[in-house]
Amino acid sequence: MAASPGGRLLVAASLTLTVAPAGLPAQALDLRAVANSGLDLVQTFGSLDKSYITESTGSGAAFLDFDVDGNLDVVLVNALSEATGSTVQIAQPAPHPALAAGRRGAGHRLYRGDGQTFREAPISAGVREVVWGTGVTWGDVDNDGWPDLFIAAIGADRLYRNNGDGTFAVWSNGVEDPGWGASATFTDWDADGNLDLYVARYVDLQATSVPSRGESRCSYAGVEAFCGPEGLVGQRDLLYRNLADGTFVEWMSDRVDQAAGYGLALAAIDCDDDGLSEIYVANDSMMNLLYRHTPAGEIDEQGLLSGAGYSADGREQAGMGVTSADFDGDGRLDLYVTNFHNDHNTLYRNLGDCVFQDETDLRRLAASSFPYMGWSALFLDIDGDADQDLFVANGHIHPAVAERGIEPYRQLNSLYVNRLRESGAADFTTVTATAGDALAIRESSRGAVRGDFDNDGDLDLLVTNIDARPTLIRNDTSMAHAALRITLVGRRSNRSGYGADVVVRSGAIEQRIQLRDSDGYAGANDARLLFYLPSGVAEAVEIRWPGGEILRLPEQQPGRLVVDERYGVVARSAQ
Amino acid sequence: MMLRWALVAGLLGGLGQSAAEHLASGVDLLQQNQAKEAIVELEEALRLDPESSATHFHLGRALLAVGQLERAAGELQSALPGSADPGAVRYQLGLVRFAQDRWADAWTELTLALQSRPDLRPAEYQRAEVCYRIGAVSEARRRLEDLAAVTPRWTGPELRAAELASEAGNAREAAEWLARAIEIDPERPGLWQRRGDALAAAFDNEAAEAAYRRAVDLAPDVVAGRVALGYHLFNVQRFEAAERVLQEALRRRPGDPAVQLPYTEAVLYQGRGEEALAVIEQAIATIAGASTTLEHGVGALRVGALELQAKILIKLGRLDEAEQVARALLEVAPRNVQGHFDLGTVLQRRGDPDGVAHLRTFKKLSDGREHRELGDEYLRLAGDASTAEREYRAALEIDSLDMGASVGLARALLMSGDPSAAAGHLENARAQGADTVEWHRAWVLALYAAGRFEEARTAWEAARRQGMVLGPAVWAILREAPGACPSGESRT
Repeated sequence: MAASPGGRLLVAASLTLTVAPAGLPAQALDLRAVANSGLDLVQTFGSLDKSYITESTGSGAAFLDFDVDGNLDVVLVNALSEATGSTVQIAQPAPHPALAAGRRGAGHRLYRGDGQTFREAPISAGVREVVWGTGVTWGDVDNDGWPDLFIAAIGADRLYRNNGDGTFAVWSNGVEDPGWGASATFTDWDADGNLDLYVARYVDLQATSVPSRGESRCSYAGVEAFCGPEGLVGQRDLLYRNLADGTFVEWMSDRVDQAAGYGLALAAIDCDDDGLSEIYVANDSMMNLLYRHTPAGEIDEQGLLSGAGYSADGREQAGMGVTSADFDGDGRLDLYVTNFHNDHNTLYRNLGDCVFQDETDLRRLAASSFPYMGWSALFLDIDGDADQDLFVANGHIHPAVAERGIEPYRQLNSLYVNRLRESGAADFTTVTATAGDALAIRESSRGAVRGDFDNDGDLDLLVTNIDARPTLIRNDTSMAHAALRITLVGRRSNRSGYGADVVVRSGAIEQRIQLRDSDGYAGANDARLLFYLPSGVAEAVEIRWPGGEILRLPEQQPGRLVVDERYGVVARSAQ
Repeated sequence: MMLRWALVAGLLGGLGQSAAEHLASGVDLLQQNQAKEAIVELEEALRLDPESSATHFHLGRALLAVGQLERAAGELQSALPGSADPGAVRYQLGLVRFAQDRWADAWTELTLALQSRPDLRPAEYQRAEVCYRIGAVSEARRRLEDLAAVTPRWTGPELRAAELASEAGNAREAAEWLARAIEIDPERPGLWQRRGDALAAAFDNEAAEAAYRRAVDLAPDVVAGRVALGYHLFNVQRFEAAERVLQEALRRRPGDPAVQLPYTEAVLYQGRGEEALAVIEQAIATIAGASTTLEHGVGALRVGALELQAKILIKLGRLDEAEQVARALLEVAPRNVQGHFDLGTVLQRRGDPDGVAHLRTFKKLSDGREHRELGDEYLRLAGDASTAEREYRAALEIDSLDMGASVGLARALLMSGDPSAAAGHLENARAQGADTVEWHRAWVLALYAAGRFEEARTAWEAARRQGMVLGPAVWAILREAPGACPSGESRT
């Protein structure tokens, strides 16, 4: 166990990784919807008939342990129940429901978890504002050990400081831009140990008159529909620098999102294995973006050159969600982007140095995604067989199309099992129909986050559904292998450890997971990383911190580790 | 055969035997669509009996069939005086005038035919067609509707009404017309196939599939039905089912590139890249060998096949071959968006700086295309000229050589009432080589709307000489047919 600056990760030393012997039986999946989860908020998002584009995108959720008690808590973002064309005006923030006269909305909710169910925290611990909330993420902005919260909105975005006493307080520190923030990620762009913030933004409502369905002549599949985003003015994304004094300032505005795309989702990933995270933004109907670092530390957009800006047909797609993981076990972080109905979601394999190739069809992910409108996507090892499976939250945006029987508004979500460990081929099989009752639910889903809310060593899911309660999915699958759960605490790096890369070797298999907050759409995930151990132990664990230091741990038994960048393993338990 | 001979014998009346034989033979040949041979027989009959009204009549029909229109008109005029069925003669004369684009005369003859034979439904059908051909589309549709109501066993009016509904972008109405045609003739596979097309265009995919499948059931050996079903299944992204159907079509018509292309994509979408590559390579070989016999559309097929081949080769990591194919694609179509994307991708991966240049060209073309396609949607689906204009202008700002955007912008400007500006953009497009039907149509309409009537007529005639059909919008302004197709006339 030693920190060694400049060392190499296991994956960097052997880019072509050995896979486990083929032929392992697939696990029988058992994903169950939790009936009385306590997550009782109907996440309203405008009128039910979806007259405006502002009513279509839905709100997200976050798994986090805000009170640091070892149990995951939940934030559900909420919006209002009606919209007009000037959503900006009606969505201006109000500090408390009492001040929200004339607005119809229940506000955001924060639920405290006890390892089984959830209960709303008193007045939602200070975050229950009635605004048009969209995406959420969290990170320890001030490195005080308490996760802070960022909620994007149509209207002013908001950062909430965790008071460390079970409450949050509005923290006005420069990130309150009144645009249409959709999703956000905390990432330490300059590796100074402080989390910076990137906000993907969608449509500029102040530069555009947003016509309602009926006012315009827009249609979808022959049915009258709201207009946009095409034809409306996109809104430039924002990168904020954390000045480490409790404030943020916009950063490199002349380089960020110059085309003002319709940004909906994003992920900070280290795709060139240099220890610094790039930022990938999924744009709706425009080229996706990939921000890389110049040698001077500036931002350099390379979506076009990366191969991940377009599908293999050279077509812009309607990027709505994005997730990243090393799906093929080659040690590189790949990307999966969800798209519109009647198009396929797109799997980009990382060929190295952030050069991506659309291999959706070769990996058997194309045909099955056409009938769905994908939003959040999550790579996760759902069956504990040491490879990355894939969950996709689906839901249409035009209820009128469903009323005409053309395409369903409420859709099944999708679950794909990676066959890397079973057959040696990193391609996917759809298992939605056999994965348990939770996958038989039809809603118009938007967000989805992963986390082990019941602390039983597997990844559960929380799915948000527009204008409905969320679905908490408990994973009761018998895991193929025992798990090693790793919690990271940054010191020189940001306290949340975002951007840290962890590589675990178990037997012949190496698994790489990079810690990040945002993955999917409009949400943030459990920061505790789960690795499954085919050999029964982790023969080697390497952690590359965002500051560049590498920490190597000796053999680890299954269980839980808390690893501090400065002190190494500070807690270990068998459970 | 006995019935036909009996009919001919009745028509022959007192003709001499030899002339009668020639006439009978001519009629027989005409019924077998052997018009040239029929003319020989009928001319011989006429030589033997120059006064025979029946022979003049049938010779007129035969000459019409081979396009000798003036002669046909003369023979039919000669048939009139002694004809026992002047309505039939007038009807044929109406067809001749129609073929001569003499719309007012056609209308007159057809009207006279109906006065003589009020039950001659084809004459009324043809009058509806005259209405259409002079641009009175609504009147044509009304007449077909009336005609359909009184011809419960004839599918002609329903089929034509369906075509006009489709042309007007009303797929649901077209599907309804085809349903009525099917009620009359439920065993005709072509009707089911066309109904499938209309239902698919109306987004009624399940009903469309059922219609296509019925067409296949009725005519299992007709490849066109299977291809239509396969295309539909492909279009609704049921790739496995599409593959099965297209495979069956290919078994019956091996090596048809128009089937091989979607088949390849269906296979690829299911993850079988090597197999897809093999099929597309066969298609490309077929296209190369068939370019002399399949001229129509072969260029588009070739481009589509090369695009597909390059994409698959890149996915399979065969970059050298992909580069060759992408270069071949750009040779055929220098502004091909995907060609630049593929070549740029391959070169970029190799670190060749030309890769960046090609990707930038791709981006420019792609961005322009996005705006142009959006403009097309606003114009076609929403009839929103001002938004369409904005999108076309954005496309041209990115790529001033985008001829489609220039034509689209001109159409939007025309719709907004600015024909002079429209003409200016069309001239620019023409200077860049625009020569499509859409360009000629917009050009004629712009000239006319700008008051440049003679130029409009000259432009229309030039397009016609190129074999282009500019459609009812142009016909409505430039075809003169005084007295034809009065909208207030009482109908069938």
